[in-house]
Amino acid sequence: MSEPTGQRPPIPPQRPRRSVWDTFNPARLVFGLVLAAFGVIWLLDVSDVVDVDLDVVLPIGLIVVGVALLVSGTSGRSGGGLFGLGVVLIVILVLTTLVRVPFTGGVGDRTERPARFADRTYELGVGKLTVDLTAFAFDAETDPLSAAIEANVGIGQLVVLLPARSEVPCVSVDAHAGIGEVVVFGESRGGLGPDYQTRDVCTGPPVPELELSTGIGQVEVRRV
Amino acid sequence: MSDGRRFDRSAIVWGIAFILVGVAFLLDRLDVWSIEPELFAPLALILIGVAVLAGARREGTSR
Repeated sequence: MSEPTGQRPPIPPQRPRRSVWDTFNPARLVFGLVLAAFGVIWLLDVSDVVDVDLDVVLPIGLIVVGVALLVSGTSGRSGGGLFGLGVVLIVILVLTTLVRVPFTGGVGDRTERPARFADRTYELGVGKLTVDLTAFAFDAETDPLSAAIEANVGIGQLVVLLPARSEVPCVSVDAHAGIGEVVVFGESRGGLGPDYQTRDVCTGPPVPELELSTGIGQVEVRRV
Repeated sequence: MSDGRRFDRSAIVWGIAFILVGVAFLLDRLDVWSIEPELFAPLALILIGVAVLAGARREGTSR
């Protein structure tokens, strides 16, 4: 007959409490949530339930991906698909920053010849847009002394033709290309995001105030 | 005192980078701040360089 030892039975070791990050892979969790959230937002947008501004959604998505990567990294896990998702978002953001011209206005070659001197807006998605300002009529008593003429081309060439200096001595030009070339009165600037701004100090009307841009392509302003 | 947790340095660096880039683009889209396209190329190089540096330490010393 054995004598009692007086020792208590050993206490089984407690299992360490598992956190939510031990249960779920945070990278995959957020990756799935971000994809699902984008899908829901997209669905709501195309269903006209809400008007979603992707310009704001994409950076917020990138911030969420960054936070998820940070959490993932501090818990010792790799980023998984989050890194690729973040890179894709950055590429889209960079492209939409370079090409800010909306792709509206159709495709092809178009020439606009306004008959009166007044504010105008022209848009072309892809192709060549020529704005011929050489033949507009100007009445100093009824027409504005200056007029904002805005023209945007998504991808392609934008050409603005102006009358001779003797007819229209002053012109204000604000021209920009996301990627490509800007040629204003023979002065050429090219590369990534070239732009050209000029403000003539003379005040002789009429003064066309040109606001010209292309996402990818060429903007040219010249006198005939 | 170490709690035994391990860190993935690369994921942390890229996470911080994505947050900073996301905030920059968000401020740009909200017209609070303007991103100059000319900055893209040098900033991308800096970002990649920092990430490569962060992952340059040998396995076993980086965690």
